[in-house]
Amino acid sequence: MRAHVFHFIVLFAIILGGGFVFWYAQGMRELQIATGIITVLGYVIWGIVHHAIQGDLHRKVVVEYVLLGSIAIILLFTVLGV
Amino acid sequence: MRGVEFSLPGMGDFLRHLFTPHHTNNHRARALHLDALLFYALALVFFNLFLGWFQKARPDVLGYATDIHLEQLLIATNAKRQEAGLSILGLNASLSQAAAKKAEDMFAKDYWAHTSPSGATPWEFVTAAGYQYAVAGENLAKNFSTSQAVIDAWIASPSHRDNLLKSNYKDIGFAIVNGVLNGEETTLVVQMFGSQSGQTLAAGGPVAVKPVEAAGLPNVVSTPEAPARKESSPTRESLPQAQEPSVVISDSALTAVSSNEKQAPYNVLTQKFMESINRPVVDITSLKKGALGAMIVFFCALFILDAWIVTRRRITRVAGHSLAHTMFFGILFFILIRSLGGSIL
Repeated sequence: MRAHVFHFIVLFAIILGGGFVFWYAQGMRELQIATGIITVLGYVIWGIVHHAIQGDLHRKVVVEYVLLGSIAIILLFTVLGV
Repeated sequence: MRGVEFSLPGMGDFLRHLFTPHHTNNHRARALHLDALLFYALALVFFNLFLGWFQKARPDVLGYATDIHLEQLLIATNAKRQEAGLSILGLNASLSQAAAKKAEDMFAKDYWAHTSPSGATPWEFVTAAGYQYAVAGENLAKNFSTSQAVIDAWIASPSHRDNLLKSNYKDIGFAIVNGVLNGEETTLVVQMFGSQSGQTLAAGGPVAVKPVEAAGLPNVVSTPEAPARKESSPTRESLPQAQEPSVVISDSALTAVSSNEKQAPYNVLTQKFMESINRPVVDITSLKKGALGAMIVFFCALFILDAWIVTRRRITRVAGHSLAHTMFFGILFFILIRSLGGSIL
């Protein structure tokens, strides 16, 4: 349970850190895009590592994180008008 | 009755199958299956492509709605100053000209900053426009849809608010310009403040103050005690007296400056720099906000419902972590919706 909480704290830090840099980079589109992609990659890697540690990593799980990450990037591009 | 069991499921069963973990969908809402996620991703791509194509084809139907006027900005700024017990500012031709040239320079060199990539500070535009400042300041805004939204954003930011409500200023200038910045269609608002050498300051007398730009601040008027950064603190001696801006505004852009600015303050700029009015049938920002908001709320609601049911029924399955997905899309929602608004500098 403690490990589980720690994992979520790490995820929270990844997303919040990415969000902060994204917000700070207002007006610098390239930096915002890079930040968004790195944050999404962080989220996908977190998912893979988390499930690997939990012992329930499956190809379906990896595809799920990748698809949700892709949706997040497309949403980001929609906002930035890419 | 046996035939009922093999008939099409009712609406309740269908919705349960679609939105909740159930044995009919392998304990994962059908709307969250991998093929459904792929469908959302592709649908979003087509939505983006359609928006881009339609906006270009019919900008009168789908575009960025703006309604920003110089006069409204001036009135709103002075109203805020009066509320704070300060004197109102007079519209100054030279400051408006400096603001217009600064905006043109930002579009020409494609930057969103107080200092240009070539190192030109706001103060250089001010002096180039013929305004011999004792104190000067600059606020920037982009992608707001109304004049009031611009002023509200500046007032909500402590550093911009300080600038807007500085008692040392006597004059103000504005430019509202449309263009493409960082590949994005943008409405830029430049607000320049100043007080000329010899003008009586509210504090009770002329103050020898030199403007400097400090890191992270939209502009700072340094007090004698404030440390000035070497690379961006023009001294009175080093001020360029007749430096031309790197981008010259066409003759049609600026009309002749009136000899008596107070009598004809609005004759300073042409319509190009005085307002931005665009009223498409559908505002693209609102459309994006609505679509993105609906999609993310839809995801979060499904993931929360999924996590709740799976925990309650103690279902063991192979799937991603719904709480992690909720956290991810929840934070994404706030970041993206916030990014769709205007920004200030």
